[in-house]
Amino acid sequence: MRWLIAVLVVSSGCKSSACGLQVSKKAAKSDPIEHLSNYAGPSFSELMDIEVDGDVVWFCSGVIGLNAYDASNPNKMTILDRISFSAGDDFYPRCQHLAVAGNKVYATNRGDTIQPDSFIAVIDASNPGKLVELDTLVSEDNYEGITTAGDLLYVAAHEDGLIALNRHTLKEVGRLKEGLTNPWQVRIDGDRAYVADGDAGLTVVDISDPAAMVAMTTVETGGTAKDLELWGEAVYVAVGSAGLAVVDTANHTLVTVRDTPGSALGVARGKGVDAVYVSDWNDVRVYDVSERLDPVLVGHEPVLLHADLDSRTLGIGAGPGDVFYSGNWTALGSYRYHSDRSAPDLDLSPGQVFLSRTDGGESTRALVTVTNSGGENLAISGANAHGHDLAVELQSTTLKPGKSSTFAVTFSPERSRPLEGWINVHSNDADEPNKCIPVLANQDGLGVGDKILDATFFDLEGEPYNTRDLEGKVVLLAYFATF
Amino acid sequence: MVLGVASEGTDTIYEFIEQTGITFPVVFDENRIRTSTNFPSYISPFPRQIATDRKGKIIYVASEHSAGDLEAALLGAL
Repeated sequence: MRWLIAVLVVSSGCKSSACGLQVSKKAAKSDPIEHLSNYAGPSFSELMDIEVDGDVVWFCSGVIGLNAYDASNPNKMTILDRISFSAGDDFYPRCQHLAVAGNKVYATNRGDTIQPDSFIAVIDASNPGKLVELDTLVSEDNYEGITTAGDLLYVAAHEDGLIALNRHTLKEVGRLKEGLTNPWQVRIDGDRAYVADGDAGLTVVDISDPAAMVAMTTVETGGTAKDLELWGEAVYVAVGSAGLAVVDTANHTLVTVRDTPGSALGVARGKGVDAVYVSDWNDVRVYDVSERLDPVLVGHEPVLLHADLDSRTLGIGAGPGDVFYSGNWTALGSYRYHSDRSAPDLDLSPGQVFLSRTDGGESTRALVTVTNSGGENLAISGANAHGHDLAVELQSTTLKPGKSSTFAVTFSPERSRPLEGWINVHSNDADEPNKCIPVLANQDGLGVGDKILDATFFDLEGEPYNTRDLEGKVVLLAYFATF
Repeated sequence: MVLGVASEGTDTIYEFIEQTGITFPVVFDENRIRTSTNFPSYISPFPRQIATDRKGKIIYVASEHSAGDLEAALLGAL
């Protein structure tokens, strides 16, 4: 409650400088990434996969189902229709991935705690303003990514492998498990299927006979391969926390990996511009791929819900020309990539600063890294700290593209008390000239600097793990949910 | 050492492990350490990461996910 009250005071009293809700400002004329609009229509959450077919943007919502938006004017999208599926739960219809082929949309759900049915739904998309479900296949297989090739559907199905089905009858044509580890997504090029194969990397499959598919080779990419796009001699693979991997299709070798600060989970290729777009959990990143095997970061666009929450940017889709679509958990946005522009682009890490606990009379300090992710020199003019006894040490400096530097944030209270402050970094960043990040210290509850509680955890087999017994090791407790 | 901390049923977790191929142990937080951390109640409980150094001191606490920040914290402690 104390936190919530503090946030309300900050938001209402200092809108121009509080972190609060981060909304992309109108782009400077030099900004290569222009945020066109956010759709403000019927609510949804869990924005998942996005595909664009002409003027229609299709996307999966994990809570609402399949959505169709009219994007004939990307500056002003309007909803055409939405549909939940006959399979699964009425309360959480679910939709994870989709593929568009002709007048049909194929949507998948893998099944989880909230909605246990794994299924493929077939939707009549001949009239996107009136969506009709034609067929559904419910299965024990864990359906994930999906794509079409002629009369066939190819589905990446985790431990159930790569499955080929007739897309008109939904009858299985073939299945491959050997040589695959954990398929998340698949793309087809002729008689080759390229599979984003989880921790294994990129697996290439011979599908010349879909009834007898054969894994040819696996290219280790690092990270966890979740999504991919094919473009000429390149395969672009979103590999989670490892970033964006590029594989050469001529010899199936890893060419390079572009590290990203977030978690690269989606990738899309431009349809009228030499660009690859990546959804990176907290932002979207645009790469110039004029040289297909050498992506050059052009910039990033934050897609934040609030400064103290991450945005969960998962889906990304390329529209006609230089437009692309992405969003956060609850909003779909449209963007334009201006390939003729170049600008500096400020990146701050961490995105929120948690300082170690301190008693009165002592200082606590953290380092923040500032990186120029853009194509022009970033001129940093300084920074301001907002919060009693909070100071920031950042001199004016210029960072060339790709370069980083660090600065310190220090809290020196005379007496022990909590801090809920923020800092603004001032620069010539094209759309965030006063970038803000929250700074917190001495909050109630466990935080940085505190000793972890003496506690015992039990695993699935009843094996105990005690926090005191684990001393001597660096330990990460990663809380997660499967839905 | 990585411990995945779950709160769902064991059948669901077994299926998730098979689905994703994770190899680190998955445990359950009966001690409610997650709710002891200094996050406001409106912050989603999942995901959340708590990292400790070799002396058991918390070096990183985060809601949501920031791969770069987490990596930097862990590398600093190793």
